[in-house]
Amino acid sequence: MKNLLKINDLHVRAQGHEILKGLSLNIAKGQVHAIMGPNGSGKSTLAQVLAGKSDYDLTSGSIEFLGQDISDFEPEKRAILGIFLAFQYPVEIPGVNNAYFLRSALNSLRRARGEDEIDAVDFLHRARSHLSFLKMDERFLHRGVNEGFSGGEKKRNEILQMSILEPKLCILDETDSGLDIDALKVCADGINLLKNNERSIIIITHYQRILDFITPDFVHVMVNGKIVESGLKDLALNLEKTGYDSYLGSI
Amino acid sequence: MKIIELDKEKNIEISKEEETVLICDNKNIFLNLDINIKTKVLFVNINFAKNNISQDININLNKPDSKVEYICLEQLNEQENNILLKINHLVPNTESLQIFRGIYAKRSSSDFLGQVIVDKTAIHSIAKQDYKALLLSPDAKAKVRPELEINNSEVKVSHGASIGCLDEDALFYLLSRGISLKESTSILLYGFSSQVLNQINNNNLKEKYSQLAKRSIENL
Repeated sequence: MKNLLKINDLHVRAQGHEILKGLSLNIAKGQVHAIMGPNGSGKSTLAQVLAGKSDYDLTSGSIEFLGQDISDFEPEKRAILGIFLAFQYPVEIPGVNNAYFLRSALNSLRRARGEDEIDAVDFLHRARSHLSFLKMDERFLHRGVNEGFSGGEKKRNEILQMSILEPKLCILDETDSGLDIDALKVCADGINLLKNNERSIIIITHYQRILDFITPDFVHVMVNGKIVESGLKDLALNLEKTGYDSYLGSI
Repeated sequence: MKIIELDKEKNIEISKEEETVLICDNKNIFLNLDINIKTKVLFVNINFAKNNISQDININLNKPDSKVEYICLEQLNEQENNILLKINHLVPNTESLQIFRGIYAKRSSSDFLGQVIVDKTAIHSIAKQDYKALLLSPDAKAKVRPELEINNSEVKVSHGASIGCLDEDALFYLLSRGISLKESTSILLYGFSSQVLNQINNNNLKEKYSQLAKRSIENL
């Protein structure tokens, strides 16, 4: 199976501290990987580093996406290649209309692929089917980006963006946190709908609850900046019983 | 709705009970505005990178239930602007709202002083000052100064002012969706400007100044 993402011995520092300490991970096309770990283990850093946030120094190692080293790529270039990060804390942007933002993003990707831009009417038509599946009212499109949205609405807005932009790699940074069981089910259904043989998904989470709805092919335990154990779905179920103490004790 | 485009006026009295919009579009003015009747006046002050602007505006709320909304949007490149705004609440039940948004690029500088003076007789008055400025270059300067002088204790007043740079987290959010740095910056600056533009309650004017704002942002 062809590799989509290959992270090799990645070391990352931020504000003088090493956060990722030799992390390696391979993800093939179409696979779903869950990354679990205690607070402060570097999971969200990994997500942001993959999306290209500039706050981090990559001191050694490499990130290959579709065979090319993207370590130095700007965030927008990574998005155009097909990387999408669903934020743990989606940013509120007052005054910027959600529909305008989403159409700008979609048209940026379409331009990069040499496709025609789509106009506001076509965009609304296209967005409506995604909205109804995610049980979102159309008025979400006409509000400021995430402005005054509840926690659950923000997370659904992330999944909405993901389903409209159709990335090759979806990174879900604690999408399940702060969601009630109904909202979690709606988000999980949205994510499952996006699963196909070409698209890969990384689910970063503390809890195995979301994995009841989205079945991972692999589960990784991340502690202190690296992956300390990898396994199948059972690993997540065991973690739910035993916690992370046994891993923390071994550091 | 009555629309007055300000040019060289020195004194304006509002004495008819109709909604009035005053537009000051890149003008040097020295104006005294008296609101003598129960009505709402919207004062739209637009200063886009054209020439240096100096303004001295005095507004008197002389009648109970008179209200003024002063909204100001500045987008400057190389200009130096100086605005002194004074709003006097002289009778009970008067209301003033100020929204100021400024974007300063290159070597521009701005000094905005907004004063609200609530007379001791002007009980049950409401006043709000909301000022924000964005600096886009290390050489740009902004001073935004909300000042309140309240002479009775039965009022509702609030003020807030901030000066900062473009929100890095918001910028990363847009970039991470594939939108270029230039377009992401424009989107954020337009969103910031919209906080003033959305207050314009006349569709033609709102459209006109929204288009001008978009063009002005492209040139910052």
